[in-house]
Amino acid sequence: VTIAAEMAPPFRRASRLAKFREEYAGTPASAALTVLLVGGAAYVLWRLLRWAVLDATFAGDAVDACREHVGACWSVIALRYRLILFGLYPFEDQWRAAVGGLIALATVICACIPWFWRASHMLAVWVGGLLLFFLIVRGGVFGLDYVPTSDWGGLTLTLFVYLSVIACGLPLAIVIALILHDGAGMLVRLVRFVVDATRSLPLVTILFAAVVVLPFVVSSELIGEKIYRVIIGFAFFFACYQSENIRAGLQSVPKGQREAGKALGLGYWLITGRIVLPQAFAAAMPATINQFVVTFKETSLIAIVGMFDLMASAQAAYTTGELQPYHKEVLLFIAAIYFAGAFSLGRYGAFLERRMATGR
Amino acid sequence: MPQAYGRAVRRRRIETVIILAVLAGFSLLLWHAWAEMRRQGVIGNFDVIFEMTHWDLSSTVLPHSASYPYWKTLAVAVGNTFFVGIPAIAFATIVGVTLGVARTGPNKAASTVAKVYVEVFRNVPAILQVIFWYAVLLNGPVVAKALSLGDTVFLANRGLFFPWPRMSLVQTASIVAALVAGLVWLIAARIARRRGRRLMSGRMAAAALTIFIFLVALPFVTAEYEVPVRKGLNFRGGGHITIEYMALLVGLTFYGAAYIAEIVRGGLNAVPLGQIEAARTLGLSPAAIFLLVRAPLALRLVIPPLSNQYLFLMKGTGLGIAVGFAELFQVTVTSINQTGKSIDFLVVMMLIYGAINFTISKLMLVANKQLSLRGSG
Repeated sequence: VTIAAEMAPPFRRASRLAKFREEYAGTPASAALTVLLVGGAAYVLWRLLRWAVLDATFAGDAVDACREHVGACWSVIALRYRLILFGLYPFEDQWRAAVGGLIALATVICACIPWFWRASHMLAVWVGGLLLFFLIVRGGVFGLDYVPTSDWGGLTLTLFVYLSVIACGLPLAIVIALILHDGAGMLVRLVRFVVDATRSLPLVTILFAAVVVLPFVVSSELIGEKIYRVIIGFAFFFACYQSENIRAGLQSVPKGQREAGKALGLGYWLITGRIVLPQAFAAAMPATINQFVVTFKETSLIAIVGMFDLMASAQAAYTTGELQPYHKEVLLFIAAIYFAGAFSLGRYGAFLERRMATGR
Repeated sequence: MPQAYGRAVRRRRIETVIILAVLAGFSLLLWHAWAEMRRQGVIGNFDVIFEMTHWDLSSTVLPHSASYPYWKTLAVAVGNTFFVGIPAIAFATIVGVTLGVARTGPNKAASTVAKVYVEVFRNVPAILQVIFWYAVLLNGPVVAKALSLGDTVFLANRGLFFPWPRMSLVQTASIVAALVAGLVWLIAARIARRRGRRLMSGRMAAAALTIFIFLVALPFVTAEYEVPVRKGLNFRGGGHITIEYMALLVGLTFYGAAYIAEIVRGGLNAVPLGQIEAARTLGLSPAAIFLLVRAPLALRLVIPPLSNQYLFLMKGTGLGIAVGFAELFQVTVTSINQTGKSIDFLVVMMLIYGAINFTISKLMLVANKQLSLRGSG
């Protein structure tokens, strides 16, 4: 009895100070590292703050004034934001490109809300969103002037290509995954080869091949405009990666689920559509969201095959005129846009994972 | 149940017909495309790759001249692809492992810095990062105002200039001999281990390692270094890498490092806590626990995703086209523009990328096997 009384309690809640010491200065070396890193970070942040805010020029029409300042010249953004966001879209009609961008954004947001996660709703959101986008940005109806796709550009084009790639690529990915998982014989071997070959190539080469080769495969009346060829090539590439995610999901569905469906007398399509695929999708969700993030960043590669997307329009914004010295401002501006998209999608993915983990 | 059986057979037949119809349609399309491409001359008999190039490549690691045939030019381009891809993989691994360890380490300041780095560099497209570094370097100081490090290393908008050893034959031979001997040593040690024996005692091995380092390092210490000197609008002498190369290398390294950091963090976190607690129970120091228990166990988990990342970085060299670095894709596109033989070059390029991919994934598979064989059942 006495021994037990003399012993300290086995666990003690550490005081806040002790916790702080443990985390930032557990050992002398750790303390030195903390001082070094905090000092370095403070220096970098202070330099950044001075460049980006304190010494910067913000005036909307004063690129000349930038020469007298040592800091960032955000006037360039004010001067060129239309070119960066909308590319070469006709100036007076750029509100349509802006509305198109908002529609694209709304489509993505709707697709992220669980209430829409039913085949019919999903279909309505994507088809409706793309159709609306198309009508407003392309025009030719409701008294809107027709704007050819070759004039689309900037963020609007980036978002359109992104949405189209996912809308076309996801169904294709499901088909490929089902063939690889449930198929047999030559077909599986053929598809396997095509998927593996595609995955061993850089996306830029696929895009380039699509732009160069597709006109010979399908007549030019059907896909005469370059943007469609780019989307087809990109969607195919996306499907080759995404199909592997879905296939892994399909494999994770217990065999009993399929057998239970069979016992109820359901056919292949009913079992696949109602029992297996929903579970496969749930299992593949983290990988799928990751694929969406990667694909969003990869849309910037269409600039290489001559599309005037956000990346290309930003380059145009600082290589024309006397704005060459302000390349950093322009590139950081679009980096912020890409970051916002990729980061929030990634956060959303983490949220979904937590939600699903608690749901089980 | 004959009726159900009959239905199944009928369905199987219908499916077969559909598949055959789709395949036939595809074949028809391909045949049509083939005929059309032959007619327009975009597809040849691959004899174009034996024709003379007539144009030169700028800044290649292997020598190149305009009189090379296309296949030789493509080989030089592959050399450049490796010249940027392998250092990118190496540097990204070093930076990424450091960051990944920092993120899982006990120091909160280090893990916060690593986290911010990862979030920033992972969420911005690789091509944008490459173009950013290129624009920054391109608008950097001119040669006359080059940044210098002790007047021996110079950074200007024409690239990085640094001293380069001019080795005599003896010095080169010393390095080559040491490397060959080292390779033989490694192979012999592996064979010995496979037979359950040791090649040499620990003390012997230490002595051999000292001699090896000495043989490799001595030529570098004694060699005469050629220091770059300003000459007109450029530098003369010494080593030189272009800004296109630097932008691509730095961009790929920083981007890849962010992903590798996440992979390493995942691997370290996935090591079962019981293993670490067991090591602690044995009285191992934190450093020993990390080096002897946590890191080796994490390494096994990390190899498969890491090999994917290496493949990605190797393919990422294709971004060279965005800054005009003469790697495989850029040279392929130039060749197509020069000759019009799109398909020939596309096929050759795809075969080369496929071969590179295949080699790396095989190497990583070997590494995976080597690591997983030991210990775990």
